[in-house]
Amino acid sequence: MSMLTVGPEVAWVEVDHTVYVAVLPDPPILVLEGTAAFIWVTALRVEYEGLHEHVAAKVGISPEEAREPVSVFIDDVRARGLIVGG
Amino acid sequence: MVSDTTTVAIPSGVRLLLGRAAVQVIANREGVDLLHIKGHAVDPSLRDPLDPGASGTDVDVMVRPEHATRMDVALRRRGWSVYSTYLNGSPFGHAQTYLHEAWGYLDLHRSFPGVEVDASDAFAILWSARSSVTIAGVECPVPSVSAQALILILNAARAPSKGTRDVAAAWEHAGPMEHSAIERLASDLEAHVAMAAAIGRLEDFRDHHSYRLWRAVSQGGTRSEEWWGRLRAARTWRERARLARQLSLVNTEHLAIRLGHAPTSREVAVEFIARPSRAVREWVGSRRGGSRS
Repeated sequence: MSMLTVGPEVAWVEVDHTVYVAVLPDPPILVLEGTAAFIWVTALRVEYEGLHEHVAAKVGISPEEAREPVSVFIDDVRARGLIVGG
Repeated sequence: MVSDTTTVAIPSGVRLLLGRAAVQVIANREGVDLLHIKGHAVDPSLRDPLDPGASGTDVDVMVRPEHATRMDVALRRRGWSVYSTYLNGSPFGHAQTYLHEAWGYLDLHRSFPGVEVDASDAFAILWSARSSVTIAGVECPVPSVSAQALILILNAARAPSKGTRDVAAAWEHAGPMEHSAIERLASDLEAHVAMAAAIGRLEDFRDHHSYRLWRAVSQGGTRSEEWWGRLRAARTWRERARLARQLSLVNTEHLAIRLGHAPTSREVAVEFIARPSRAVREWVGSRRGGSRS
């Protein structure tokens, strides 16, 4: 079991269900909206292995349906250096 | 699911928070000591929840004076351009303002108006009692709560109309223990005259060398009154010489902001001639009003 954590020198702010995140000290500011924002916030407080279940419960689909899109999203933000671990 | 800033508007408060964090990351990389002040760095106990402008419009940090040059070089390397310099930004010469296309404005303070001990000693005093806050996920050093209160009070001394809420939150609503801590720190920093100007006790310091300066600054004196007060408050010949030069130099940065474009040689010359006559008008006006000697 493992947790995801914010990458080094990454800053983020959540305002009105939107997450703004940047790899500092330079722009760009990336914007996560809707489900993406929910996955980001949830990913930082639950075990990675159970993340898709939380997302599934939130959006009203089965955990199996949620597994791949959640995985794709995490791979994307991990590749950008925004998140590490998992 | 991930979009960039080319298609989505970023709230100004978000830019400020990320900008503060960005400045701290630069400081961490360079080994620069910074203290975050004002705006989002202020302790919640000192914020007025009803003040919509409490988070400010720029990022303010104090830099250890010995590290100011290193920070300046690092900021410029990361896309921050100088908007106004220490010499031309404010008559106190305390801060340099930078502008970044993504993060907005930054005021880099190497001293704070009203603090009369040596700037390096003042920073060391504040640094020794620092704490930290997490801003956008990044740990940012901040002065102690008492020091934050004092900074808000000193800031209010220069902008009495804007600073009413800050003085209320930092001083009037504080208890006896907080008052003692703030007064002790003001004494250590030799900031008691500016502080007195903000909290209505300036007349207790009529004989102090800084009295005229803070009376002019806090009560809206003319430029001439402020300049003479500043000269009287200067502690060194070097400072007096700098002030004397300021009297004759035209601030081309302020002039550009007022004109809306870079001033031409002719416009600078016109301003150079206009300044003494403006000073005379102010002096005559104040004499006619009979309010100040």
